[in-house]
Amino acid sequence: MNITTNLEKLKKVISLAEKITGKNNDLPILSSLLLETEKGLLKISATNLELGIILKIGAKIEKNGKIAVPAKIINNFINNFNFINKIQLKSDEKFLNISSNNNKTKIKIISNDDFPIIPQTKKEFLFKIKADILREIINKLNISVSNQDTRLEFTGVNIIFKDNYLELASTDSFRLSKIIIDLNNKEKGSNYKEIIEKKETLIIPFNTLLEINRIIDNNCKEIEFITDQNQIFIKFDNDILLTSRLINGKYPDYSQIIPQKFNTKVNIDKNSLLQAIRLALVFNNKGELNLKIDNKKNQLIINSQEQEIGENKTILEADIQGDNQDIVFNSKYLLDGISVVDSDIVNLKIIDSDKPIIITESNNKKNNFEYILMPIKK
Amino acid sequence: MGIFKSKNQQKLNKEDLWKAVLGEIESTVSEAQFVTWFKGTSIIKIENHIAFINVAHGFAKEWLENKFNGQILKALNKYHPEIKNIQCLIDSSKKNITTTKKIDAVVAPKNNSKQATHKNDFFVNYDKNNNLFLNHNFSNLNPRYTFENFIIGENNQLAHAACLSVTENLGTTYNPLFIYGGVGLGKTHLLQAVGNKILENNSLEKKVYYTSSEDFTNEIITSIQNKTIENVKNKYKQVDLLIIDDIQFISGKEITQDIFFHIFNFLYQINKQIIISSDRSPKNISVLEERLRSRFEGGMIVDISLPDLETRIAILKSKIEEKNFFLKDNLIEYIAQNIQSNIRELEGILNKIIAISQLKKINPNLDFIKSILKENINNQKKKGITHKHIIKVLADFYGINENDFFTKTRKKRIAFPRQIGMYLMKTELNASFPWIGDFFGGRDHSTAIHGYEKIKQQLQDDEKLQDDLNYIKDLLYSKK
Repeated sequence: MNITTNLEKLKKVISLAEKITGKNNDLPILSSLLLETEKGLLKISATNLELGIILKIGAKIEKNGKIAVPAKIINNFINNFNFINKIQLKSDEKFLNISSNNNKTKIKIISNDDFPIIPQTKKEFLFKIKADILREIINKLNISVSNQDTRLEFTGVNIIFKDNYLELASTDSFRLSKIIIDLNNKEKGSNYKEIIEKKETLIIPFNTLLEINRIIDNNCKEIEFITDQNQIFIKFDNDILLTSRLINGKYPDYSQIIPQKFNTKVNIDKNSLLQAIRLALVFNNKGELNLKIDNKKNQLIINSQEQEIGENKTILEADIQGDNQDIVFNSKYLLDGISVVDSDIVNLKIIDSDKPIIITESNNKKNNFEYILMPIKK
Repeated sequence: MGIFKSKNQQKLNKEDLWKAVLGEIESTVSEAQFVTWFKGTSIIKIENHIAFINVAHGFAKEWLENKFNGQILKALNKYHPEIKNIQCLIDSSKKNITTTKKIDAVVAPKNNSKQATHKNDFFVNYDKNNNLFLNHNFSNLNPRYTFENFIIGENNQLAHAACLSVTENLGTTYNPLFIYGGVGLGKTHLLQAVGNKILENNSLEKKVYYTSSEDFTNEIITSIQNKTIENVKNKYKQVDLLIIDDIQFISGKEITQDIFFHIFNFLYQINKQIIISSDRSPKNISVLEERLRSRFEGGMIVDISLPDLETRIAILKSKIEEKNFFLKDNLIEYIAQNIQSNIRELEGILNKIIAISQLKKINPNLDFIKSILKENINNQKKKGITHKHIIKVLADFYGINENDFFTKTRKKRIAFPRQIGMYLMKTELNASFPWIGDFFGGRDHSTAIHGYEKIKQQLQDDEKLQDDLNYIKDLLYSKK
């Protein structure tokens, strides 16, 4: 192989690819990147057998070729290599040679016979999501996703397909994030109808979403999702293809636990509420706080106490409709939900002290976010 | 049984073929490669000269179809020359996942939140006072137990059929369904399989709740303390299928029985299904209120007895397959012949064999199996029970004085337990007849022989005695 390409672009793709290599694996080939020329482009592939990625960048190709190099080495090297804008990659039988005026580098090539074939698909996209929407929702889903693989389905994000929207949810069984993404007709593939009819759902590993988030850059406008035989293919408009396994399993029917009727509705300033919760966190080792609603005085009171430490109480003005309330929450869970809210005013919808409460945004139009949290029973 | 076997036969053929192929490939690739690409693969079907192979993920599909296709095809053709091509399908079966509990969703963190976030067995030991879950189909079931992995033999055919029929006609045909049998024979498996099946078919409409009578009792006790007994009652009254395991532990607990009676009556009257299991028949549960007993007897009562040899072999084979292990048929048969008492013990022995053989990296042979079984059988017999212990348990069970055994009296009330004693000393302690005779107040050895023979004879057709004796043995070996 003998090619010349843009250094900055190469840096970016190599570091993206390096993230998806296998570590500590019995198959050493997984810790390498596969570099090959294809139709006038440089194609870089990496996989850890959970995820696979194929990235392509433009290059001036003198001689075609296909080599595998240790991912970590080439990533560390390229990212610190700043001598020139255009970089030449030239391989012989044993080494990948990179040189500039004052620097000569040889990286040992690994046999690429065993490099896995990254699955691809010929199918059409199932749905598309705008890059900026995807970026926005990832944090909101992140807070509720479980990181324990005792229940594999909880480590992913569940997608339910509806006529004009997608419903995404993540839960660790203590709280649940639910997001609605509207789809227009252009954003639905021709097979979208079929999946609604079959009532199919998908569980995408959360790691895959994190990877998507990492890949999205300013040039990226729209992301295509394609499903094929228990795999999902994610196509970016900057010539990147990500392949991931889907999680096998049945997601719990969470629709049943989302309350519809409430006794109390509260509108409150997000930042002052956050501050009150952070203060309360200091004064309870168990991480619990007490939230009281006083509808006469239109006050929301947060307090926490610990005999050994002391106590803390914050009284906030709030817009309150409905009954008084007195509820105990896990402070961190409450904090998580409120901190991802994307508006200045937070809405709380409450039934009573042992039913789930719902936290929503006040400008709840963009992506219909709901955070459902169980209180701690007294 | 017939259908069951022939299905298995057909499956074996495909399996053997694939085993042969894997054997051949294994020798040509590295272990890591083999595990990565071939783990969990199998032949699904052979159709139109194409062998369809089940693989774990897309990468394996690409690899097998593009890199190993020649090698696989060559190996396949040795046995099935008609196969012209292979095609891989990615495994999308949900059953491979260890946790597919279909229900529950958001639950309250426990009071100690640090603990709550670290502990996932929370799903199992959920807060029982929280009736929110019941409203949302929280069933307490373990999804591992299904009808598919239940092995049917003569010993449990009827129970299995009754359970299946219940899943089809919930609350109408056999209500209540009462299943009894010794420990480790699969009662819980069947019970849970019914629940899982119902949830699988109508997870949204039907509420299923599984509990053991012990948990039930604890729940009642807590609710009495918290004065929330009405909530508990209401919670149970909402279910469509109530499964209570090991009901015998309810015996003697009056308030629990009373509350259970109310729940039972309520559900029964509105045709909700109730399934109950116990280690003995309703007749033999001591200290059970008569009104409950008669209600249990009013439905369908089926028993699960000890599995016969063929069933034990089938069970072993399925467990071995489940654990991805291999044992020769003669070894399996040897184990099945020697472990007769219960299925849990069979599984225990198998686990031990697998663990030791993997630890020591040896291929199990007959001597190895024998040595493990020997240990186990010895352990079991000599659990430290003595003739004194037998006397004590019998005296308790029959409500007589320990000294009565050694008197000259021939009253039936004493003589019969004495004969049981003689029988047990022979079977469990392997004592000699002269010794037994002498032990029971200086009797002749022929008296001991007579006692033993009489019980043995009676056991053959007296079901009540069989039940009693099983229970006595349980007592003997469980409580020291």
